Amino acid sequence: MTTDLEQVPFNATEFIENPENRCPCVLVLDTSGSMQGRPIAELNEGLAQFKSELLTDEMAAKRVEVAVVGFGPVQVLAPFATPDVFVPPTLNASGDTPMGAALTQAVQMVDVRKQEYKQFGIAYYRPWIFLITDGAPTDAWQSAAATLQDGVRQKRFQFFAVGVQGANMEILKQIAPPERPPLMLKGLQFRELFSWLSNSLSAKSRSQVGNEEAVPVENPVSPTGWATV
Amino acid sequence: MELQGWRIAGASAVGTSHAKTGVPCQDAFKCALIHSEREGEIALLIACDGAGTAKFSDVGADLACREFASNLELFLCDGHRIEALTAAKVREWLDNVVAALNARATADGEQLRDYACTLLAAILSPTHSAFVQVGDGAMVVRETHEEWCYVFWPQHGEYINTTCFITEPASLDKFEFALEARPIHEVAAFTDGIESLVLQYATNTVHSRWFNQMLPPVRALDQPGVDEALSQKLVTYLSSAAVCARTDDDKTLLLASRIKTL
Repeated sequence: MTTDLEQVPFNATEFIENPENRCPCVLVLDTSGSMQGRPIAELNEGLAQFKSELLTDEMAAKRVEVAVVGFGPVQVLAPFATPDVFVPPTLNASGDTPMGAALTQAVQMVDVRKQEYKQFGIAYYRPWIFLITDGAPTDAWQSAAATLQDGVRQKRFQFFAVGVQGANMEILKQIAPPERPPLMLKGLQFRELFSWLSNSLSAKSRSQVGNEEAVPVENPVSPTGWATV
Repeated sequence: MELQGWRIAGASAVGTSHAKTGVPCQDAFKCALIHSEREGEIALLIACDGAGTAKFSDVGADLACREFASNLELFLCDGHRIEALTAAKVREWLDNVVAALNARATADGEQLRDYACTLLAAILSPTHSAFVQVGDGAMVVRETHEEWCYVFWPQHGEYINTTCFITEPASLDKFEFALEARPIHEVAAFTDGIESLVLQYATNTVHSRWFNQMLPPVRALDQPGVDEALSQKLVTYLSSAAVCARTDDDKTLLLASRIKTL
């Protein structure tokens, strides 16, 4: 039998000190062997810059929560934290590409986090799950993709997939929901990507929308943007 | 407790995020004292919060306030009393508001959803109090010497940034209406811009102390009615660094009291 004490994580203080609304985002990052060299270095720099950009926005600094799941192998590299306490992990590239398991992990983390918000009476925005990969899954990704698309349809979270050069875009297209197909990163423009992500999350963390949804985000697929379709 | 005529102050202030991007204030409000032959003075407070995602929600919010007010005025002119208000009658008014928004949208060659806004209304007669709400923001009333209570909790979906707008048929079906057979002596209405300052989401309670500090200047006004000078001070307060540090959204606050001394 589990007691209430066991179910309640000891994180009440973070919500008491900061009762602001939360805007959670899980970064699901490919840390498999193929990312070795410049790609993983650029991704690390992008991640550090992401934190500092979020910190420049007073509201985002209190409201956005970032978590990081790495895959190759699947591990939670950073639990949910607001930018002031978020420590960007140093990513090391090794191993294969268990993308399916990583996505399943991200979906679970989002569900658990929502329960925690509810428990502490914290209001929240729809979570984002943001996948970046340069490869193809080496595990059984089909059931993870189905769960993911189900969650998107039920508005439990939003999902974004970004392929880096070498990514299997055909499989990414099957993983991503049809209404938001994967984007291809231009070169290694991780910094531009994270700038965009920081701006989008900042805008989201103060938005008000109706049932029709849609927080306007700048289109990353433009001549000056970081992505191509 | 000693009573006097209604004293009212009301203000909207543009959010700092709107000011940065050049978006106008999309909140609108209307405060009025209406004289009814049959009931005496009736205080009316209306606040509408235009959707940030709708192109002309500032126009929509303003029009919705005026249209709702004129529906009430017609009702009183026809000799009805506030106690005769029903949910069906209020629904008629809301449909009229939407029809007015629709007419405006058609005239402008735009879509109804481009004028999306929320609506809060408090109608206070000497004997009865009526409240109407579609969407977020809230109205709160003084219940005791110290304590304030909300009338309806803000209508948010699972996510804090989702709410209902009068321009959505499904939202209109969920409008809140309450008629209470008792006078209310002090009330405040506010849009979602200051929700997080004055409501405690964790406990679903009102930050009573905040309102206790806001009302004395309203009570102290020389004349009954809507006071322009105090309303102007309210704009200054809502635009102050202390408030803007907590919210960068548009915000509206309406305060009304008929208490002379507590």
